[in-house]
Amino acid sequence: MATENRDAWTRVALALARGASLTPVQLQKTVFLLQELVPDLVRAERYHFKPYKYGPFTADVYTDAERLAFAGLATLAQDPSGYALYSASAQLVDSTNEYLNGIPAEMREFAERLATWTRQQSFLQLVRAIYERFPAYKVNSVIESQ
Amino acid sequence: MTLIIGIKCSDGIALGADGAATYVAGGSMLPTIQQNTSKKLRIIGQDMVFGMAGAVGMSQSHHESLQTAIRSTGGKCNYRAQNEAKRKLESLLWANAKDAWDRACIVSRALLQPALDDCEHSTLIACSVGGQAELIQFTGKCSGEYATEELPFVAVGSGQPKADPFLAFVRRILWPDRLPDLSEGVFACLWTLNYVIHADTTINPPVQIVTLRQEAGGCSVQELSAEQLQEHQEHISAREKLLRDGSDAPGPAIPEIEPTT
Repeated sequence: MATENRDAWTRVALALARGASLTPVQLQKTVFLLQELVPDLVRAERYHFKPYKYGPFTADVYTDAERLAFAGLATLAQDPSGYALYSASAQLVDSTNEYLNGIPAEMREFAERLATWTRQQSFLQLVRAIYERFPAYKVNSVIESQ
Repeated sequence: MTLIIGIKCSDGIALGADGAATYVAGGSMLPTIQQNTSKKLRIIGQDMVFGMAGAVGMSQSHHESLQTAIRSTGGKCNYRAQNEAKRKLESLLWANAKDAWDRACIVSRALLQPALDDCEHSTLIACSVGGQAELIQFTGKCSGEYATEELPFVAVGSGQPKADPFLAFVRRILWPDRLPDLSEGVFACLWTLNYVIHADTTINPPVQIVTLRQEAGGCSVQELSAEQLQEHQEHISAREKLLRDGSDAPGPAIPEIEPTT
C-alpha cells in the first residue's frame, strides 16, 4: 500500500469525531496521540510535532485541516471565544469508516476510544494528561502539570 | 481608538495590540468611522518593536525616524546602557513631536484645548539595550520610563483604563512575586486584549502579538501567527470556564491499548 500524505492523520482524527467539532487543542492532540499510540493506523507520512506552549504542536495540522475544508471534506467554524472549530464532513466520515472497516478490529476500537477520550477532557485535563504520558513535551509549557 | 500592551518578562518582552483605527472629525475629536487596520506594532530592524497610541501622522513620523536610526546601525540597536538608550530615543521622538506641539500652540489660540489634545500620544518601544530586552514607555512630551520588575506591565491608548486593572488582576493571580516568562506574558497580553475587546466597543480584533526574546548575545523579534495563537485562545476560554465552574480536578489518564488474547 502506498504511503499517503500526512493529512491522512488529520482526516482520521476529524472523522473519528463523527461530525462533532474539535477545538484546536483537541485536533492537535488527537492527531498526536493517534500517531504515537496507533502508528499503524494509517500508512502515511507523519507530522513533526514540537513541544510548544501546550505540549505537542505543529501548525501543519491546521494547514491541512484548512485544505480539507477547502476541498469540502471538513468544516471550519469559529467559537465565540475566537478560536477555530474543526469538523469532518459526512463524506469524510463515510470514507474513513470504509477504510477503518478494513483494519484489525482492536486497532480500530482503540483509535475510537482514544479519540473519544480526547474530546471528553477539558483543555487543562487534556494538556496535563499529555504531559504525564509524554513529559518531553512539557518543556515549553505555559501551564503547570499536576 | 487603541490598546497597546507591553509586559516585561524574565526572558524578554511580550507586546500585544488591537486592530482597529478610528477616524475623528477635525478639531472636535469626535469619532466618525472605524476601520480594522492591520498592524499597530511595527518591527524595526532585528531587535526593536514600536507601537504608538495617538495620531497616525505622528506614528508614521516616529516609525520612520526609528527605522532610519536602526538602519544606520546595521539593523540592530547598539545602545549600551539604559540612560543612553532613553536619552537617544527621547531625542529622536521629540524631534518629531516638538514641531507638532509648536504648531498646536499656535492653533490652540483658535481651537483651544482640542488642538493640544491632538498632540497627545503614548509610545511603547521594546528594544535591546546592552544585550538585554527592555520595555520603555514615552509620554506625549517624549519622556521615557522603563518597565521594571516592580512595574512590569504597561498599557497605552484609549483602552488603558480597562486594561490596567485587568493586568493587575492577572499579575496578582498568576505571578504575584516574580516576572512572568515570555509564554506567560503572551498569555496575559492576549487575555487582556480579549477582555477589553469584549468590554469596549472601540477596541477591536484582530489582535497582534509580538515578542522580543532574550537570547544569548542579544534579542530577537517574532510576530506570532494566528495558528500559534489558537491554543492560547482556547486556554483563555478554559481558564474563564474554570473561574465559572470552580473545578480543576485531574481527568483520567490516556487510554491504553488492551492486549489481544
